[in-house]
Amino acid sequence: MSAAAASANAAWGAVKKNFAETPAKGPCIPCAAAKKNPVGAKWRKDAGDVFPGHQSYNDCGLEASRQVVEQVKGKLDMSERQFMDNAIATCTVDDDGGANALDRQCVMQQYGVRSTVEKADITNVDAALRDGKGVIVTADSKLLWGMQGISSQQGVPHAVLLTNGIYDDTGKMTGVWVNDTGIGQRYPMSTDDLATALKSGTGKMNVTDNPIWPSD
Amino acid sequence: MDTNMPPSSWVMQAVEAMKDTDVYQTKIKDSYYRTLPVPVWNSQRTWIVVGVGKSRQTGGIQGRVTSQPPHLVCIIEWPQATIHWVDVDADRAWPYQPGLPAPSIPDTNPRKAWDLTVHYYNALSKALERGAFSAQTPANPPAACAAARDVRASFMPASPYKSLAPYYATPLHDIDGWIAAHCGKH
Repeated sequence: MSAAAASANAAWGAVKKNFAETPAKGPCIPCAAAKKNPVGAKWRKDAGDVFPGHQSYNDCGLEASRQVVEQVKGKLDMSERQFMDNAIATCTVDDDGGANALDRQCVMQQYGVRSTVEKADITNVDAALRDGKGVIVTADSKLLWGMQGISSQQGVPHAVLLTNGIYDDTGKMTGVWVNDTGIGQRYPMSTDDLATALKSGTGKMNVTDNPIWPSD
Repeated sequence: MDTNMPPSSWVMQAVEAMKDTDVYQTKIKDSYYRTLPVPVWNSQRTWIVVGVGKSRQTGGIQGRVTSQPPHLVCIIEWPQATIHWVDVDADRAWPYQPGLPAPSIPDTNPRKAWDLTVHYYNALSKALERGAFSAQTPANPPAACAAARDVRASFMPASPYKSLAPYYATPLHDIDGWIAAHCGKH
């Protein structure tokens, strides 16, 4: 073995001794910063149970709001059409169900769910999901669905409900789960894709004042 | 808005500032379409203009947006980024001139759609920074012309709304006119 190879082996040995043994003798990961995954089995089940499937009107934002309301208040005894008609009557929702963040805030308030309208960015999404709050964001539908391998003729801003974050071992949010009534699907999305999707949207998102998802 | 931002981000910043206005957040619904920002200029000033309109889709949410003029128009002054909203007859405010041929919008990979949009935003920012799309002759014509050509080349691929192509005919016609007038030797 050459001197250089011996030196390299010694260096690797030091690395192995200090960082790669089990349990590691050195701080190979920032264990102190690791956070418990806040999303439990019941949380995931509720996020699936509240999902209504495919929307029937141009009411993506209302259907996202309805999921939040039903998660808080329980199943509403009304159809998608009735929920939309009530929203049109009480908030400034378009007659075909078109809404914006302020409209969604108004609609949820009608059912006693208070929320704020915040800047739509990863930091705010992460903070809200980590706290178990309801989060509704918008993104260009062509981009959003294209990320899922679904093509569409063209995109328009489209509202979806984010139900929970996906976290790595260090507690960093690496993705989110999306309840999307536009295509009637629930799917995961990476944080990088979400960051791009948020830039294509309307710039604002709804966050409930209180947690709506169970902590277990 | 910080007008000292790098030129590649000026249009992106302007569009974000537009979305942050009360008008945008109160009058515009999530489902409304938004046109690409297009350069418009006269003998004194240059703006970028964004049109917003109600999407009337046929065939459900995945259907096509019916072609109709934008009914809200946002005018953003270059380089101050002062924002003006025009909520009147969109045919008057939006640079739409009937009779010009509608350009065709190529199909794009959806995953790349945003990359194409960002490329266009950056190209437009660079072109404005270099003095393109102005009545004045740019200080460095070759640089301005190269940037202007990049704007022209990236314009249609960046547009996600095929049915809105007629409304892009006028700004594209003007961009072509600027390039023809200033870039013959460059």
